[in-house]
Amino acid sequence: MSAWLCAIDHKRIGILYMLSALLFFLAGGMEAMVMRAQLAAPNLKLITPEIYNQMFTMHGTTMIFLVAMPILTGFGVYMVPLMIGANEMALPRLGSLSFWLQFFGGVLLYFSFATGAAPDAGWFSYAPLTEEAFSPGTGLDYWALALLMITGGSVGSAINLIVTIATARAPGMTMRLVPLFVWTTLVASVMIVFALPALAASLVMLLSDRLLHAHFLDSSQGGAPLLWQHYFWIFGHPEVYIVVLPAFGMISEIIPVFSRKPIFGYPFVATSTVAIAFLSYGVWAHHMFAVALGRNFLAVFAAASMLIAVPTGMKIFSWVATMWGGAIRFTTAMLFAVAFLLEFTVGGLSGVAFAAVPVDWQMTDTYFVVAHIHYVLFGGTVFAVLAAVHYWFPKLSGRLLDEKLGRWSFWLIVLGFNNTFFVQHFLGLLGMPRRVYTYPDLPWFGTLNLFSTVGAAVLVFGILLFCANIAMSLFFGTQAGDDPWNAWTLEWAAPSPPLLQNFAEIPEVRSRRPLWDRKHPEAPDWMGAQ
Amino acid sequence: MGPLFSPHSPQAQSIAGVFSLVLAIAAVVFLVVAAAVVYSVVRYRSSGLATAEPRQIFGSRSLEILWTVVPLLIVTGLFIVTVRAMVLIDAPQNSTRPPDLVITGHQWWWEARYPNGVVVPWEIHIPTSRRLLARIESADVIHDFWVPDLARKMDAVPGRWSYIWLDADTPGTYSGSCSEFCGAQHAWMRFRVIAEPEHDFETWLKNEARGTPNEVPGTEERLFIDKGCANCHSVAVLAPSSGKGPSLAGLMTREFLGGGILRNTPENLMLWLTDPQAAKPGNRMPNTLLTAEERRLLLIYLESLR
Amino acid sequence: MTGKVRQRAQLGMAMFLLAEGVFFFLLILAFVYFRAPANLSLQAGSINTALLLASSVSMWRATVYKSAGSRLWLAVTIAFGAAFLIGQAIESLRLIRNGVTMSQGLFGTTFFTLTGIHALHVFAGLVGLAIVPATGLRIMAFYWYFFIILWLAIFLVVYVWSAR
Repeated sequence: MSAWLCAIDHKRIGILYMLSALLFFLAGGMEAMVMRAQLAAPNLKLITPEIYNQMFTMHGTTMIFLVAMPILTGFGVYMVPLMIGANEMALPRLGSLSFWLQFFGGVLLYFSFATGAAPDAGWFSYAPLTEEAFSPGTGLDYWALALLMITGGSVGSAINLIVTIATARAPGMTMRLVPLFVWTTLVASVMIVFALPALAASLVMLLSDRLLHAHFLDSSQGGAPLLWQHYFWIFGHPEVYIVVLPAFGMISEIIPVFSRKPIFGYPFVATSTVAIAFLSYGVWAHHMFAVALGRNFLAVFAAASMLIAVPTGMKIFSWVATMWGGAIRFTTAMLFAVAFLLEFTVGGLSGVAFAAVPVDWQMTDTYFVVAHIHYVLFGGTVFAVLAAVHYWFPKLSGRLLDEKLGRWSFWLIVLGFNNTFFVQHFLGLLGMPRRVYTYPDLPWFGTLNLFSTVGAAVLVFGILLFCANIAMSLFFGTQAGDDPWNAWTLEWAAPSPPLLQNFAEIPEVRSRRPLWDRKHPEAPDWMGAQ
Repeated sequence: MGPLFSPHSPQAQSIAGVFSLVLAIAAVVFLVVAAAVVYSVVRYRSSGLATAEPRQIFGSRSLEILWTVVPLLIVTGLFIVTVRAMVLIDAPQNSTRPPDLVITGHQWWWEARYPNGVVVPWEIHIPTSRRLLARIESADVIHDFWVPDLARKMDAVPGRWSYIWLDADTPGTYSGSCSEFCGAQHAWMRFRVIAEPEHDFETWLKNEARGTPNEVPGTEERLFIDKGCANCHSVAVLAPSSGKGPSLAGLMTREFLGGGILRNTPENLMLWLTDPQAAKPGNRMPNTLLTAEERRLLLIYLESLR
Repeated sequence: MTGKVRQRAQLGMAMFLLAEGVFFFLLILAFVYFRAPANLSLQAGSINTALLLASSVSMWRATVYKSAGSRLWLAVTIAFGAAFLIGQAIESLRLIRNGVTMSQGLFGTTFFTLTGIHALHVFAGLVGLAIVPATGLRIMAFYWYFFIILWLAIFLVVYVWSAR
């Protein structure tokens, strides 16, 4: 036990992150199911409005801060040293501290349930609803303090990843040769350094107002509720790219291996990642289009928000072009990766719809946006993570996940996910606002909501099957060997699972696919046109 | 019914137009991507046996430039359409013209104030012949005024004034809802905009302004005042709103109570009197623990409010 | 400390200070945005600033000298830093006695938050300087210089600019 609690080996810490993320994913999923049950029919009274509001707040906060960020950090912390040919992260104790800060932040957040009131103002908690006068309980104090701890953990792990990637690469691996998962993790980590402090500043203002009776966000004393929104979204928009870029990196590793071709257009994929990072700091006000901020101001943000679709879309084309002309093997990992392409495209397109300000002027804060965020965050990030789990599980555990169970869970998840969220586009179009604990019996509202709830139940079943697959395969799965997929990046040169020292000797790196070079000495990458 | 499906104003029409364009572009892009994915997945499926690796292609500069430039052109076109529509739809935020209507969001009801002093909650009457400038305000937290068939959404931010056009082209009753989470009963801050021909609107406005309290309050009204109800709920349209609770003037003309949570029936009115928290959990009305007789008299009074 | 380890610690500290920079920039921006009228003693602020600047000199000397000499200059730095904090506390108490508190209004809100959080970081810096082993002194010095430069920015905005 203490070997795990005091661990500073990056592989142990990576697994701790993954287990923590799984735990909170199940908690967040339960919160979602409670909501979907309450919304299954009009005017249901399964739970009180107060409880519902706590559910949607905790669901959003959990999924973003305790699931999406930690799972990507976990994969980063585990895989990056292996992929760059290093034996350890650069700052191991910082790595450990960062994990526990994040974990205890989560514990603090959930402790609020025990005090009788969890936070209930939404995952982006707008002022002045969050001021003492309108939210007198302690729920929001727990929320803000827990998030400050989690912020510390995020920034710590980001710094660790940056320093590792900058200083611990194998000889021969220049920055232009790093695997795309490493590259996207680096870019996301730099984004964390520049974005999370904005969240910290927002939380400091909120806590000052609530606990020390300051007036940052209190319009009656000259403060500005909109200041919260600006600062929060200056964090919040880069944040959503922070949780999607490493997912793009995962897909960029998986599709090539199972198409048996290198990623199409590595330089464009890498450059577009940086473009997204820069642009993401210039689009925050698109979350505030419904506020009268001035037409010119809004137009600038509309332009930037539309522009950011271009480097994002370019990646989808790259991934398709990678599959084109290949020899595709449909392992469960590849199934999830291909599904990702379609789901994320839907989510990305609904995002572009919102960039068109007049559309936002109708659809923001409705179920149309709930559909959008779940297509990009679940259909995007979660699907990529599911693909990555199936891809890298053999490396972490030495065993293969069961392909049959994998297929079953895949189809149930795809069916459940799309049934839950596709209809929500229509609910938004029909006028259903978000964050409502119930709704009137208007035409189609009941039917579509019920459909969505049933879809959610199917999705839960699929997730549980996936969890069962992991549990079973850990003990009874086929032995995987070092390189079950015949892949090309350095992690597959280490044993499965790797020993404490990852590499007995660091392999030679002359191209982006060191193991391809080793397996194909007659046609290594570094000899051909790159 | 929904902004895409039934626009009833030039502004909503314009938004529906932009939306249709976006939807068309999105459909085409998705079909192209989906077709490419499905094709690759079918055509380039591995035969399964250990075969030689396919040709290793690293990229194609011309293709990559193509799929950068084409989307760039598409979004540029979309941007131009967006800005044009914004100019058409948005009301001036700094005009010196006094608003035709001031709409205030409270936790958890909406009320409209007309230039002649009339204040009505929940059901906002407008004439169909003109484009009204409505000012959106908040008395407490951030709300959002959203009537999809008629207008864009507008956040009601405390300390700020924001303006929208209300411009119905057809008479009708248009439902709306609060569209920014504002606390416990955000879900039941629904309202209606009732658009009528100019003449009918003027008649309604005059009738509203005419309603004044009796010179000598009857027993029921006396009870309403003595029990403290009048401290929060005004019953005269021309009386300034207390800000603590929606006005009850014209109560019997409304179809719903509490922002849509209950139909306006004697049973539901009695429920409000008996247990406000059961009627709309989390709302700010205290339970004044009325006796059965007091409730009976107050119900008579409420049913007299037309 | 080997070269590689030092390089990593330096890069780590640089990234951390970048994050802190973004954080403080936003708080300073909030101060500037609210433009609340001030009632500060430029004299007291200047003395505190001078103390901090003096500590930057002694900090530099501490990194230049070896062992005993270094420890002496380090002690001087900590003394200057503590004096700065005491000066800040005195100034804050004076304001509070005159009714300017966190809850008094926007000036109190923004002033106390900004200077308070800066002071917390200075305090953490003093603790860090006291316990850091000699090999890590240079890196701790970066932290120290950063918060002095940050103070200069705060001083210019809060004391000089808002008094105009």
